[in-house]
Amino acid sequence: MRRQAMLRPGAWALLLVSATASANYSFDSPGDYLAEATAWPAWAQNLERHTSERDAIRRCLQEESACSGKLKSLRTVLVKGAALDRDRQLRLVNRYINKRRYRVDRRQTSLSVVPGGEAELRNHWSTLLEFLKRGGDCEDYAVAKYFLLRELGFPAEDMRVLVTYEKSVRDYHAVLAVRRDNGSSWLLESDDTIVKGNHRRYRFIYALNEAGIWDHAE
Amino acid sequence: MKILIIAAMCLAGSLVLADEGDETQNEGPIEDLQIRLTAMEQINVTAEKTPVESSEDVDSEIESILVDAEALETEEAEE
Repeated sequence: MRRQAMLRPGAWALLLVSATASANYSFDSPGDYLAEATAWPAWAQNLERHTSERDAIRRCLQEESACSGKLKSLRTVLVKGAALDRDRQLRLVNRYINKRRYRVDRRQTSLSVVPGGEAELRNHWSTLLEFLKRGGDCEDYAVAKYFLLRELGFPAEDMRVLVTYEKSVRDYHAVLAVRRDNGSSWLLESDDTIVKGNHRRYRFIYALNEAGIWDHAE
Repeated sequence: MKILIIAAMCLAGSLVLADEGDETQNEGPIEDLQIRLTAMEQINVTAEKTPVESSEDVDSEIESILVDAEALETEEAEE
């Protein structure tokens, strides 16, 4: 007690800030980097499928008559959303994607990280267009936001699909983590909220983007 | 002379053992990567959340874009 009383008010503030900061997701944790994105075959395959879909998205952006199905609404979001500032683009994308139907993945055979094999896995990674057509579950919401924000010019290194264990719902959950200019991380949730700080309710498990895979589990 | 021969044998033996040790060290991280990736792959990510009322101010421009996008989807569903 005596030792605590000797700390100056400024030192207490610093301790409080560091305790709060440590609870928030950080993009600057080089020790957590695990491997390149290609090390996870199902994720790498999803990136490849999206790359081939981008041609259709680009054609639709250039010429409205080339748009069909969900590409029409996607075009509206991309063209009109381009005029918004970054904060509002995040809000727009979060709301637009969260309107989709939630659908639990069926157990299916997918490419596995186990060498030379396929495995029966629950998580199916959807591309943006696949998700717009069929809906999906929480990791698909996060992935769709990632691809849509990439189309709006957000850099890959500032975004990660982040898998967490959320204490309040006692389940594994995926959100999109976005690094902002001031270095803070915002989490785009599937309930329309954007968690800008105080990430205490999440335990970070792993994260993915086009460049790599990060293992945050202790 | 005997001492020299024994010393040479010890040196050769230690070099062989060191070589084997290096191989084991190289395999370690790859195996570890597979284990960690497999563990991640097995996690079933399913939490469902429904949209809640946002505490942020309503942004008319964002709302307008969302309404336009929804109208196109309704149009598409009717076709």
